[in-house]
Amino acid sequence: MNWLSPFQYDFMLAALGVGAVVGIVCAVLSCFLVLKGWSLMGDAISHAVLPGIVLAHVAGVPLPIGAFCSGLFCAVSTGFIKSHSRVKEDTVMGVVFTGLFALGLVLFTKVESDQHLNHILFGSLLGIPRAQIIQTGVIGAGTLLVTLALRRDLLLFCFDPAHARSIGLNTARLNYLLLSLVALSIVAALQAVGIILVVAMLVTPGCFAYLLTDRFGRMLWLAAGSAVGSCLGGVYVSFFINGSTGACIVLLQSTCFLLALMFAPKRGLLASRWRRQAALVEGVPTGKRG
Amino acid sequence: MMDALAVPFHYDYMLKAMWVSALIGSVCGCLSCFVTLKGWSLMGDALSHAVVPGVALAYLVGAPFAVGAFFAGLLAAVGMGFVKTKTSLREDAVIGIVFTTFFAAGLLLISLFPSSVSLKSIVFGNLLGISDADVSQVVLIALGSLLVLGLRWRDLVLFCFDPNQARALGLNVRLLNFTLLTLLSVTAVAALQAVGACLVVAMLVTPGATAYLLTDRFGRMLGLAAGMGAGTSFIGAYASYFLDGSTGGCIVLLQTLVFLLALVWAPKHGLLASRSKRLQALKAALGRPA
Amino acid sequence: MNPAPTNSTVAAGLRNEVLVSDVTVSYNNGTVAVYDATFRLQAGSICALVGVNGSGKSTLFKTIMGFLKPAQGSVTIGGETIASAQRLNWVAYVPQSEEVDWSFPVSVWDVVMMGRYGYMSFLRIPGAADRRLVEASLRRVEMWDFRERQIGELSGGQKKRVFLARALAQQGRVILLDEPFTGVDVKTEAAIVELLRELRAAGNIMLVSTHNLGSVPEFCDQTVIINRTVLAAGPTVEVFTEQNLARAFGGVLRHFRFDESTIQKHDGRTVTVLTDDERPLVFGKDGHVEYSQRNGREEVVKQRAEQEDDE
Repeated sequence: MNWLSPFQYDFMLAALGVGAVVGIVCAVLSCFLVLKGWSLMGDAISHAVLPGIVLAHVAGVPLPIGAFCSGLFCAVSTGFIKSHSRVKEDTVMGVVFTGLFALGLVLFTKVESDQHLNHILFGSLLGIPRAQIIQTGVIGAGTLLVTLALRRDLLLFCFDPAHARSIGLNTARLNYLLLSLVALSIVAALQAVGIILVVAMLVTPGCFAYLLTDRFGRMLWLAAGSAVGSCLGGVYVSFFINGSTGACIVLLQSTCFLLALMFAPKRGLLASRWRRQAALVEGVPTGKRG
Repeated sequence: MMDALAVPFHYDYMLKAMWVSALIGSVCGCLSCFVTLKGWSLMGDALSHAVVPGVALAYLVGAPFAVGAFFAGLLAAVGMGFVKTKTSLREDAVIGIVFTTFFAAGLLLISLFPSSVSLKSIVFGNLLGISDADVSQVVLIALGSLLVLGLRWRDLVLFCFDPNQARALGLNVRLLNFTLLTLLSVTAVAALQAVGACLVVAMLVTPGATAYLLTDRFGRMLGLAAGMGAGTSFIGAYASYFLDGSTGGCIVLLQTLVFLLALVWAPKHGLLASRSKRLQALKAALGRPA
Repeated sequence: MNPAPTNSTVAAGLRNEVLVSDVTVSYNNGTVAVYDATFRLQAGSICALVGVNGSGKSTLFKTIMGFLKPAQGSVTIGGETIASAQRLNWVAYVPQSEEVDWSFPVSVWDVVMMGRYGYMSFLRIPGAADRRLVEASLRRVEMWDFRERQIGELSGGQKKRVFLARALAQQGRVILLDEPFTGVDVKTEAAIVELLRELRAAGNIMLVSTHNLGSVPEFCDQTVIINRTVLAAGPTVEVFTEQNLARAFGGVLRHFRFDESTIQKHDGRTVTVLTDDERPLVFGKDGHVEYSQRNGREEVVKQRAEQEDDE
């Protein structure tokens, strides 16, 4: 077996390209989500897109539009129910996204569709048709562009929404903007890793980078780098072991996270253990003297 | 007409499906009260995904699936606790990372050994084709969980409400925490059979949230949630016969509908009630002499 | 020399005014947190907003910042609505320390630069003027040397100063400070008060939400006392009376009345009063603890009086 053999296939090259694009988009957004405390918003929205996909298919509308609308509907209705009832936010989220996912499942079984449920759920990066490559590329690039252009506003919104408001920024609009960007990135990533694992793409790179640095600019680069590396590596590995591509990508990302958790220079387990020991060594003589 | 409605009762597999799902629904309903009050909704989601590699491994080596699921769920819970205490990452981010890692591992296992267990039955449940061995496992889990809840529910309520007081009283808080996590992961496995990994969280959240809107007493909440879980699961399984749709989807959709009804019309905490209360209070405050 | 007010200061004075009229705020769950609140602040004042927890203090604060929409009444700043005052960058806000996520990956410089966002273009790319102002603000609060630090690596007082620098960089006319002295050392507190006085002299309005009653007469010239509605508002010397405070705090306020206490002789030099806004700890002349009620402690009083006589 030749180590370069994957690169001889067009479908592999396409998969590597799409994987990298999706990885960057999700990674950049994941930095904001992790800092905002919205990590599981990705989980909720990704499940909630299912009924939108089915309905869009029935109505003859492009699927990404349907997916985007129902994803956003999930986020908006979660916000509404949370602010108008006494149920906690995480509970509301659980109720709403499972309700929408269930609706999607029931609709799916009633509708004749050329979409494979398995592809929506787990992605099919290796069999991705040309039209969808373009679609993913366009959605991904657009999302990335908007996110990066407005990154300072979004960062301020995550860090101190009260200040953002007091200088006249429209925080409600920023809120929906961030939600929409998440929904769009999910629509783009659906092809690559599927509904269920897209949440990993939207959480893990951000956490990985968060452990390694305390500057936001660097965090974006680190997150994007680890995501691209994991996506390329995941596609490559899955070719050889013949396993699920999405799962390989996610597992590589988790491995990156674990390595950072152990060895991060400041926030890693080893670093904090050394710090603690150093403090003890320093602290003992003074303690004795005291 | 009556005959047509009674058709599902003539099939053994339908009867079995309805009773088993009602049993699972009632156990999950009871547990959902603790989950929503403790703020563990996302934990339910996470554990239901995290048990998947355990189930896959158990089928691979021929062990009872409940055992594998139990260990995988526990490992995930321990992992989450470890990462959370060792880093300054938010809890939701940690949950997201851990459960997606576990799920991806399960997915990879299943994709590498395709014949051992059907991905479809894990993700969507397979109530209609459930084997007798699996039924006995589910019944065992359900009765065991109900027994533990029946004996220990007061302690668990105290643990959810005020863990420090529980500790002060000399209760073993660690054991209670462990008990609740164990109950969660074993019922997650049972519910996996009924509605599948994606929708387990609905069974573990929605009934509790609905009951929470309807009453202010824990005892009543427990009864309402259990009743609702059992009722919706029974009717959902029944309805899926006619809809020819996904059983899990029908059950969860029904639960969401009941939640929405409660959200609008609940006597004290519903949208309508709080709106009229708000108007009254405003009137009273404005009518006061300055 | 007593300079006559120029036209520009008059105009600034006119524009710089906070007017809260008939404000009623209610929440979704039906509670009416504040009703019929009315008061007015003029240019060049430091105003304390005082009230117990649950008195609607923070609700009123949020309403003035424009986060809550009043069900009735209005808030204007310099004749403008809150929304347009915010767009004009007139309103600066110094948050409570507990509200800030200190592990957030931003540096001191980044945070202060956020104060300039309202002046920047759509893409928020800082210009030379922005950099200069950020530097000046950081130097003014003596935090310039810490500009590269991540915000979590600072002490409580330093953290506060960073957010003050942000308000300075924003050049707001109205600065809202939420509990500015909690978790702050005495030195920083003095520095903050000094800075606020300078800003007052420049014609700014500071609204300070606080439960630290002792500090109010020290540096606030105006006081608004609130308990679900405005009980009293005006110059601190007139408003800050025991009667008004008793109305606002009711039984919540802790009293230490010298004539009821175990203190027997006090001439202002021998008694030390220690308090952190709870019940004060009072040490008498000989350094022993004094109790707020002499009733029931007759033994102690007698014993101490005897000691006194022996000396």
